[in-house]
Amino acid sequence: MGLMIATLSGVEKRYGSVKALDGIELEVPEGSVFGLIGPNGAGKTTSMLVISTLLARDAGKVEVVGIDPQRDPRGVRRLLGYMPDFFGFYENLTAREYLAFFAAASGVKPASREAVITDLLSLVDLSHKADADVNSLSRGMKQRLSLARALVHDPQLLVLDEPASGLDPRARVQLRELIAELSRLGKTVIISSHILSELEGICSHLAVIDDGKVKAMGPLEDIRKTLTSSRRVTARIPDDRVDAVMDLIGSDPTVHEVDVERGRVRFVLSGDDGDSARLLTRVVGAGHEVFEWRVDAAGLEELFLQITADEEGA
Amino acid sequence: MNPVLSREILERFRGRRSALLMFLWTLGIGLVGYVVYLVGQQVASGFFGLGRLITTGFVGRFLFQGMVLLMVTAVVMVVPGITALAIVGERERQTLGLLQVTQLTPFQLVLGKLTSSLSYFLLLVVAVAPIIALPLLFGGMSLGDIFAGLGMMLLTATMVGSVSLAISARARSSRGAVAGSYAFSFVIAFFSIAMILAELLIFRGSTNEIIPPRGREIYSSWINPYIATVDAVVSPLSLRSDGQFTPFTPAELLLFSRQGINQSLGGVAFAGGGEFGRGIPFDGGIVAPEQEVRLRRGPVWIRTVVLYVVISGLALLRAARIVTAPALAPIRIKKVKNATA
Repeated sequence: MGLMIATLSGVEKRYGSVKALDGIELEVPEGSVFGLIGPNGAGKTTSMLVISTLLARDAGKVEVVGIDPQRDPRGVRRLLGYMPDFFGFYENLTAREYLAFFAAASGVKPASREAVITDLLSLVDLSHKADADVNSLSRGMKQRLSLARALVHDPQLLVLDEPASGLDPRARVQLRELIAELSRLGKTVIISSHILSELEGICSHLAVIDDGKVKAMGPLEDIRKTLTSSRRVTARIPDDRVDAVMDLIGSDPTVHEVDVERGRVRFVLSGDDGDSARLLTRVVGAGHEVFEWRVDAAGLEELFLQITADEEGA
Repeated sequence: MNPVLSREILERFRGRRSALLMFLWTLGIGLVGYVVYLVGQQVASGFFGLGRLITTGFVGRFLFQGMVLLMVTAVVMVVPGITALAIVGERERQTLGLLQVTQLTPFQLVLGKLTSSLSYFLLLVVAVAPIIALPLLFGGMSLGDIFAGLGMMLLTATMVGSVSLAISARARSSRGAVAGSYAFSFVIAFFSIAMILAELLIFRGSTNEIIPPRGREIYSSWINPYIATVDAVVSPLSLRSDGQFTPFTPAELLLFSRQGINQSLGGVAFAGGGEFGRGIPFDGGIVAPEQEVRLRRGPVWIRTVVLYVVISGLALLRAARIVTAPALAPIRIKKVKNATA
C-alpha cells in the first residue's frame, strides 16, 4: 500500500446527543480519487470537516499530510483545498476578483497571482466569464469556480463535499472530467456523494460510511471482489432453446434467480469472471447457440445496499 | 493590505445601496447641522448685544459642540449597523468556512472586518467633513479641541465596532447580531445617562445634597461616550465666562459636579479658569465669578480611554476566538422560516 495522505483512526464526534462519527477509520492513499459514500447523516460531511481543519474531533487521531489538523491547522490548510457542499459567494465581485481574493487570503504571492488565476479559469473553462459578476454565473459555472477557488494555492489534497449536488447532467459530466483531470495532475481527491452513480467511474478508492462508521474501504475493485462475488448475467439465445438453456443453467449450483424476458435469460451468478466463462463454455458445449453473453459487475448502488444490508443483518 | 479589507472595500462601494446611503447621510447631517446653526444663532442673538465678534465666536463654539455630539451620536447609531453583520453575514452566506480554511489568522479576519467597517464609517465622516468644518469659519475653538473630539469619536467607534464584531461572531442570525449590537450601543450611550442620574440620586450623602462640597466620583460617566468626548474637548476643565447654554452644557454640569462645583446657568456665570491641579483650593458650592478652583479628580476621558481600550481588546479577542477553526461546536445559523410557506 502506498503513502497515506490522510488518516483518521478511531475518530469520534458528537453534536449534542447525536454521535456523528463513531470511531471512524479512514486511510486515503496519495494520488487516489477517494469516494466517500453513504446516506444522508452518515458522517461524510463531518469527516470532511475534521480533515479540512474546520471541526475539532472529540476523540481519535487524525493526520493530514502527516500533520494533525488540530495542532497545526494552518500547516494543513497550506496543502489542502476544500470545497463545501454549498456555494459561498460575495456580491459585486467578478470571477477573477473572487479568485484574487482567495489567492491573497491563501498566501499566494502577489507576483504570481494573476498567472495562477488565468490558469485556473482556463482549467475550469471559465476564461470567457473571468470578468462576469459571480452572481450571474450558472450553478454549474459557480461550482467550477468554487473548485478553482479550492485549487488557488495549488494544494496536494482536495476535499470535495457533494460537488455535483444540484447540477444538471451536462454540468455533472463537466465536473467529472475536471476531477479526472485533477487526478491526472497528481492531486489526491476526497469526494463525497450520496448519489452513487456520480462517483462511479471516477473513484479509484472507496469508503462506505453509515452511522458514523466505515463499513467497507479500499480500492473500488477490491471492494467489489470482496463484498460481492455475484454477477448479473444476461444471455440471448434462440427462442426454441430457452427452456433447455434455463434447465441447464438452473442446474448449476452457482446460479440463482433465473428468469426469462423477451428471449433473454437473466440470472445471478455467485462467482467471478472465471465462473461465468466456465458456465458459458458449458452452454455452448451442450450445443446451444449464444448470441450475447453480458456480465455486469455490481454497481456502487448494489455494493452500498449489500454492505449496509450485511451490517443490518449482522 | 489585509485581503478581507480590500475585498470589503471593493464589494461595499460597488452597490447602488452604498451611494444612496451616502447621499441620505450627507443630506441628514447637513440638515441637522443647519438646525444646530440656527439654534446657536438664536441663543447668541438672545444673550449677546456685545458685538459681532463675540457672537460669531459663540456661534462657532455652539456649532462645533453640536457637531461633535452629532458625530458621537452617529457612532452610536451607525457603527453597530455596519459592523453587526460583518461575521454573521459571512456565516449566513456560507463563506466563513471558506475564509477559515485559508491562511488568514482569526485576528487577521477580525481586524480586516473591523478596519473595513471603521473605514466605511470614516468615509461617511469625510463625506460630511465640509459640514463638520463649518464651525472653523466662525472660530471659537482650538485645533486641540478638534483633535480631542475626533480622537474620542474614533475610539468610541473602535470600541462599539469591536463589541459589535464579537456579538456578530457569536450570533446565530443577522437580526440577533443587529439587535445585540444596538442594545450594547444604546446601553453605553443612553442607558448610562440614566445610570448617572440614578447614581447621583441614590448615592447622595447624608446632607441630601446632589452635589456634595467635595464632589463625588460618578462611575457610570466613565462608560458614556458623550461625557468622555465633552471632557476630552473641554480639558483642562475651566469655568466658562459666558455662562450660556451650549450643547456641551449638560455634560459640563456633570463634570463640574464630580469636582464639587455647582455651576449655575443663566447668570453672569464665571470668569477665570482653574486648570487641573492648579489654582487655589475651592470649598465647594456655587463658584463666584473670577474665583479660581482646584480640581480634585482627574479627567473622565482618561478613564474612558482606558476602559474603551480594554473593552475593545477583550471584544476582539473574543471574536477571534469564536472564528478560530477547528471549532469544537460550530455555531449554526438559525433557519428563518419561509413566510410564504
